[in-house]
Amino acid sequence: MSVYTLEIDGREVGARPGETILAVAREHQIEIPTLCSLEGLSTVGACRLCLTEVEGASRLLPACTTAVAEGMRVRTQSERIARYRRGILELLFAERNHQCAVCVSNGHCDLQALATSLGMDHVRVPYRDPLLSVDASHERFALDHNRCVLCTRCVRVCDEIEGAHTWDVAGRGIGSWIVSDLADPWGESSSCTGCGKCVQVCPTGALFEKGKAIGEMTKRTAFVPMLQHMRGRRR
Amino acid sequence: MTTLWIGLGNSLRRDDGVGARAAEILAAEGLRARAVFQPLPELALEIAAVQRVVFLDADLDDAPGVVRQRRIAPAADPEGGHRLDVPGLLALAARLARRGPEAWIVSIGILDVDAGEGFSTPVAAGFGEFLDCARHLAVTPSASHAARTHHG
Amino acid sequence: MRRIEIDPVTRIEGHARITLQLGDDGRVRDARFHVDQFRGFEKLAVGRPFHEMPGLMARTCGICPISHLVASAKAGDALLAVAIPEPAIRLRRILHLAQILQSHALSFFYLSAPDLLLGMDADPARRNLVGLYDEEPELVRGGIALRAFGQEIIARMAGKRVHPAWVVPGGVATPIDAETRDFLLAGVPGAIATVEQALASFRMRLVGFEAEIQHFANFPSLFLGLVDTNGELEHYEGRLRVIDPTGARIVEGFDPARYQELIAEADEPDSYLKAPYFRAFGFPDGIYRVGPLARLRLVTRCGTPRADAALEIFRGRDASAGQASFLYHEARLIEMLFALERIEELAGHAELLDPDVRAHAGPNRREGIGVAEAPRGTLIHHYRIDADGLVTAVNLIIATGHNALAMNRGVLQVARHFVDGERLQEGMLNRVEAVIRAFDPCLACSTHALGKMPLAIRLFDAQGRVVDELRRSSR
Ligand code: SF4
Ligand code: SF4
Ligand code: FES
Repeated sequence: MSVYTLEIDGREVGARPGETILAVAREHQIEIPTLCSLEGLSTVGACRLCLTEVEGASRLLPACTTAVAEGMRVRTQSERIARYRRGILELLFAERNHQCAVCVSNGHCDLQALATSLGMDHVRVPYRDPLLSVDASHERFALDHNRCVLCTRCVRVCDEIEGAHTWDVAGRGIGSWIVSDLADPWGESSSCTGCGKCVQVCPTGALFEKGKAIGEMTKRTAFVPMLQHMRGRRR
Repeated sequence: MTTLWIGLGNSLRRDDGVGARAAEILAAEGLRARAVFQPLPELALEIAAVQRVVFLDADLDDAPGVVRQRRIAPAADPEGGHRLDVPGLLALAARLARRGPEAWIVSIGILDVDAGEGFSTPVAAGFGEFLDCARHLAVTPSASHAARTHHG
Repeated sequence: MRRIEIDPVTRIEGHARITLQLGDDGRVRDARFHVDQFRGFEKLAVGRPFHEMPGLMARTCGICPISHLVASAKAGDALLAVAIPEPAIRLRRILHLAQILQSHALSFFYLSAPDLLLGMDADPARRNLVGLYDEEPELVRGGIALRAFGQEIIARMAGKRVHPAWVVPGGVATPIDAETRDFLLAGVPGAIATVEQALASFRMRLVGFEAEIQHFANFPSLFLGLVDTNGELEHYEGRLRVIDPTGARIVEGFDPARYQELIAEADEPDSYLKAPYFRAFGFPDGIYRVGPLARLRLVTRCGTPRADAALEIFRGRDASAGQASFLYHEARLIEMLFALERIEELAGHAELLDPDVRAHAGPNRREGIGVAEAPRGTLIHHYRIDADGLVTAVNLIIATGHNALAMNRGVLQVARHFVDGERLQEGMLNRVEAVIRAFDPCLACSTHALGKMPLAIRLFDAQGRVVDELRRSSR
């Protein structure tokens, strides 16, 4: 098996062909912020927070979907990258209604943590303040569209790991939203097994367990790569 | 070498909460910062124990987004019959300790105090400068020396 | 019609205006207290899962979030329709008493003591906490420590946030540890000594306040509030009692969940504040007062030894002073004593640290009502939810709302006595404001920046023109 040699942030690293920049960076303890990507799920490159500079490319490239190449020179940190990432976060916050102080995920939210770590302390674009609902029809869980960032982690875990394919994205662009089955209330879904995997992988307070008060919703995602691994072995 | 930041304001009244929001950020950075609704006398206990106190405040009378920093002194004669304001609080702290700390106020002009979260456009634009200004007032050995030579 | 506006009322926690309307004879005809109130928060809650309500409602108020937290969680308990574990009730009680303590300490030591102990006509430049410190340093130090004690209890139990969300439907989020208990027990004796000293100072100076006792909202009204099953002082739960001006019980003990049968709400056109009145007596005869004074008049006794001893002295004076709202100040001191004694008692309970502090359940009822006695009086949270547990309607009645009509009446009474035609005197202003302060209104959703606006008094003539104006800066 051939090995590529490339440079990330000035460090020379080895990589297997087909690996993504993100995977290689992680193997070498180089931190790249991510939101939509989750180990054990397919990658979609939806959030663009993992943007990196690749020498020779005029645009910034998402680390989670860009495959490595021999001799590639990658930068994961720069003034320009930081500006882009902050801008993306600002758009995410402005797009729907995030009131962290009264959110079930306050203090345990990936989006909130990214805002802190990337220094996004305020939003300069106008808030859209859309009128969105909470689907609390499921017996144990609820989906608050106000907090959804459309990362599709729930869609993928349900399809790829649980095999139920309850979730989907309906609509286009800024009008997109997450729906269960044929846009029925979640509680009436015939495909949902009630396993709760989607709730666990959701990076924000969008999917949560009912009965949780403000700041009480903590999540676990380590089961995803473990399940993948176990299945791989069985096959 | 201790600095205490006190951010004032109501975070559910838009720009009014700008000082409190800044204090929350500074606290998250590990600094000794408190977000409070308004100046309250028990803060005097904490103020009396530090070297420098920095108030972060919204100013409805200044141009929106404009950041200013200035030294403030304890009130010699606190305004009569009213709620405790920042100079009054300092006067109280000075009485509780042998001498009060050096005090600064960083203010930002505000615009919108409607119910809700988030800042108006000019305040959002000036917020970074507001924060930086607040951060730079941390006491460091050299800074406190400079301040002493400057004023002494 | 001429109007005098006092804007804003300084030293109350928030933003408010008083309008005095003069009749053509130059005498004050009507008085109205305006507040920027929080119906907006009721709308904010619609569509949200009810488990979020305590945390959300605590944010409606920067001054007494704990009372909203408790009343809201109790409304949540009612939606769950489960029994709350005893240890959780004890912890909620301690937390709530700490809120009463710190709120009363703020009101008495910071806002009122300068007037009360230095005298209403003392030099304005000295009539403040700093001036008071120079006269009575120990008392001011003690008052500051007292409030800090209450705040610290809240911080240790519920977390160091501005708006804690530790109280949840079904109980509290986490038990407390031995260190917190020891902190509670260690702080009580010193705090009691401070309150007793303040009480002694206050009683000594009371003789100088005959005029105030006469004119500070000294008018007959009903009183309403919670009492416990023995008719003793109670802030966390109990039954609603109503008494008439003579102290006779009109309603002995009424299920607070049926509050709407007891009180009706009048709409006050130019204020966002609801104006409830006692239904059976109609509007405006059904004016009632809530708060510390009401509570002390409603109860048979407090139920703790020091507070009961103080109550006896208070009652002797209360009878002679008639209906004076001025006595609110003393009532607050007595309640502080009670809170401290009760905290000590609760914190000494053998099962205080029991980890069983939360009952879990889904929504079992569609309507829930939570009632508590906040520092300023009866606080009612009333929620409706849909089958999924999402809030469909919210009704809040806060203490300041219950007192709205009584405050107007109180201001009118003082204004009639002290306002003379078109002459605007500093002394008069202080007294009108002092009436409002005696009610200690909680103007929740206010901004702190607005509180700094200069005080402006305007006198309007019959054509609505300003004929006189007085301004003073609060800076
Ligand atoms: S989902 Fe995260 S970012 Fe959004 S409101 Fe909740 S805590 Fe804040
Ligand atoms: S519900 Fe959660 S996991 Fe699903 S798309 Fe929205 S944010 Fe992502
Ligand atoms: S993590 Fe790469 S695009 Fe979302």
